[in-house]
Amino acid sequence: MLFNSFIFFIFLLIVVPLYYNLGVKHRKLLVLLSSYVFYGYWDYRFTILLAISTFVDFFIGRKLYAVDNKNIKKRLLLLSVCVNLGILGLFKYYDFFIDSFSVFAGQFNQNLDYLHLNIILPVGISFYTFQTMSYTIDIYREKLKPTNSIIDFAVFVSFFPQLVAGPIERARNLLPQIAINKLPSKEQINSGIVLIVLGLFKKVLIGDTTGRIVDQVFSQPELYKSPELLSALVLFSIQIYADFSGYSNIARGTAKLLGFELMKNFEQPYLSRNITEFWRRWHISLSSWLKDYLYITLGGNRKGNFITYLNLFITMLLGGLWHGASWNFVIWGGLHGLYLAIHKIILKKKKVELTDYVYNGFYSFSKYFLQVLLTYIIVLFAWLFFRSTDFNTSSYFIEKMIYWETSDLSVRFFKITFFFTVVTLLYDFIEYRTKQHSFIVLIRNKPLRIGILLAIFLVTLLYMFNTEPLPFIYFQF
Amino acid sequence: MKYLKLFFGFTLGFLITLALLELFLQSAEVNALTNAKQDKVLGSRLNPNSNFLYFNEGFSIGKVNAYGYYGPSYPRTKDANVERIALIGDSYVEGVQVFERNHFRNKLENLLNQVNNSSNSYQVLNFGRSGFNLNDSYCYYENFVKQFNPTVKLIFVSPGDLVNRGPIASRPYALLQNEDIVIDYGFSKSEKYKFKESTAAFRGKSVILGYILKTLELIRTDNYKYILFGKFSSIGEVTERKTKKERKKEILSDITKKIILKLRNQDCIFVVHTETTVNDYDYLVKDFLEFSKENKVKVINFSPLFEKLKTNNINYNYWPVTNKKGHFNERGHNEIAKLLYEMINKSKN
Repeated sequence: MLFNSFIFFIFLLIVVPLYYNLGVKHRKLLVLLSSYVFYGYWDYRFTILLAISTFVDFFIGRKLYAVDNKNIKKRLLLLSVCVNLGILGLFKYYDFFIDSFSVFAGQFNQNLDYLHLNIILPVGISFYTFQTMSYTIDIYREKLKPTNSIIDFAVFVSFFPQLVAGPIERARNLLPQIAINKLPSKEQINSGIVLIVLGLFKKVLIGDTTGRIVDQVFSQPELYKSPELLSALVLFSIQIYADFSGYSNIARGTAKLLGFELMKNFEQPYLSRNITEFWRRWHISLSSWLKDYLYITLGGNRKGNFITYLNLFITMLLGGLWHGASWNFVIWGGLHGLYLAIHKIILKKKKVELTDYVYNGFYSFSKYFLQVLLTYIIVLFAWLFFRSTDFNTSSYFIEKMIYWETSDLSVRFFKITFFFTVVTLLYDFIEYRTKQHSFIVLIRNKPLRIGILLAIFLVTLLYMFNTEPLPFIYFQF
Repeated sequence: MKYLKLFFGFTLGFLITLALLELFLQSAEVNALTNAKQDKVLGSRLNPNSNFLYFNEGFSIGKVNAYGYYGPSYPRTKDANVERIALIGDSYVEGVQVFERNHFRNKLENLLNQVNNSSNSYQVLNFGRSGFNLNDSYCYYENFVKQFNPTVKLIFVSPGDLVNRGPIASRPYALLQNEDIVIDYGFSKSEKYKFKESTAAFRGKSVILGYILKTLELIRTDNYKYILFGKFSSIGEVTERKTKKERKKEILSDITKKIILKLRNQDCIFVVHTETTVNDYDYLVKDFLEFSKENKVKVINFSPLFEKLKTNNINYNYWPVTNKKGHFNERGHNEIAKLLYEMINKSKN
């Protein structure tokens, strides 16, 4: 079920009070059962895949820890990776590769259409396969001890707040919490409620509302003029951020209500001063996963400059492919790989630290502003490839940006874009300054705080009641 | 005192946040304010110069003109060398699913003025209103459209528009009195109209209030179950739907026939579109076409065009983003403009 649906809140209203009234063992079983209900709401058959992933990795994990022989360990790891990537490959990439080979085969008058399987992509498959893979890889690297409880592990794989869209958790963070399974503190409950309300606001009132325009414009760009296309692209950058970070907030908030702490997935990425900083603030759970399990596996920065740049490029290229079976995502990933490699060349040995900007006069602010703007522009350019359904759409957009044509609706489009930008930046600015995603908890006056939260929640629910929900963008990945 | 303080804090937080959210919703045009207001003659009138933003099947951003209809602001009086074409009908004519530049009104006007050897120029005016049937279109024509002195009047009807559904609480209604058509304005005394009129000032100014009223309407009409309970909403429910056969009790009513004849006498041309959606009243069009033939009513039938488009696999009413079938899409508008252009040209020659 979608977080931005009433059925999810009814589901929460049943699960959470029940959870508070059960003992540790039963709480785990309740979370497990709820997670399977949550996932099976889309299609009950999807839960079979979830169960396969759980059993395979649980037993391989235990075996990996038990044996000393390096060759057997390698084979076991390979088996785990093959099963997980096999499921992912079959459901997500099979048809894509057949499509791509069809073009090649077409040159020799061969038709490969009969090889298409046309399988439905199970929601969030990329997220939980990566999560379970990190478990076996960490055991192989001797960074983690396997769990002895299949229930704990099944909860780790299927934990409903983060099952379909992350954050992609590491076993070393989540498994100990599942093992203890303590009830939430008062602070966690307060912060959880605030995160859910703010996340829902972001996802629904910013993400979905911008998405309605974006979807229409990108589906038939030839109907729109240059200013309208530019607005749609900017709105998409807002949509994907609000959609995903809002969803992550709801996930973290829901987990907090059950006493769990999930990692932060976003830290105001559009306030980044360079592309390296951007990737430390954007989809943090994926970028750190790619760094730990792909970039480092490829050799990281240990094999000289050229290999470092190449590794960065390959990591981002595959990161792009993780998002979806389309060459557009590959181009998007490739562009980011290129940006990061160039930035690394510019940086030489210097490290990028995540320090907050402190106002220090007009000159320093101008410099900061220009850096943020430049980073945003290159990110925006890459978003064009991410959102376009094919390369023709991307090139049409670029053509329309070069050969600019005016529109009598420019002012309306820019006005809409401006106000969405202002609200998004204001939201980020408050987060940035307070270093809190649930910044409303900082308001000491409790009735005032409740009044603010209730107003936001009420308006969001009213909007949801009157409009069809847009699915979360990352569900398709 | 303590409770007063708590209440004050809560109210302050609640109201300030509501006001800020209202500001955001209006400025970013998350939902446009209603662009119609109550009117004792027309039922509801489009607010002149009001902006609108439409999302359903398609998407459009636009503006009602200075005179309260769609398209350029052509004043009530017109020059002698201007041919003025009025498009009258329901949401298919209103066409807010597409941008004004893609609407067949605009395309038809451009075509007529581009290929025009005479000194005359053409103006096409869009008087379409969502939810109108033939009776409503007639009242609107008599009370509003006529003021703009159109030379060509195109009345669009789809099968459902031919059903005489009787008077409704929000619009005038044409009825028969001693064989004459009389427009009844009794709607303005109805509770529904009075409620709408009394709340118009708020509804026209607040998006949030608009949400609340729409939510109450959804609850009142029992349309909230799927929204709230999703897949579980249909458990234990028995769906009741009248079959097509059961519905075939409708006939072309006397008032409908009288309206058709009266509009014929005022040189109106009927445009029939039947192939847009599967409709329970498709058979009524057959009756209408027979009646028109008998009474020499001018009719433009879109069915052959739609059939041709279907044969050529051209989607004229499919919306890929929302995966809906219904109103004409951009391609449909294009084809309709071409067809009307040919018909108008043919009638001139």
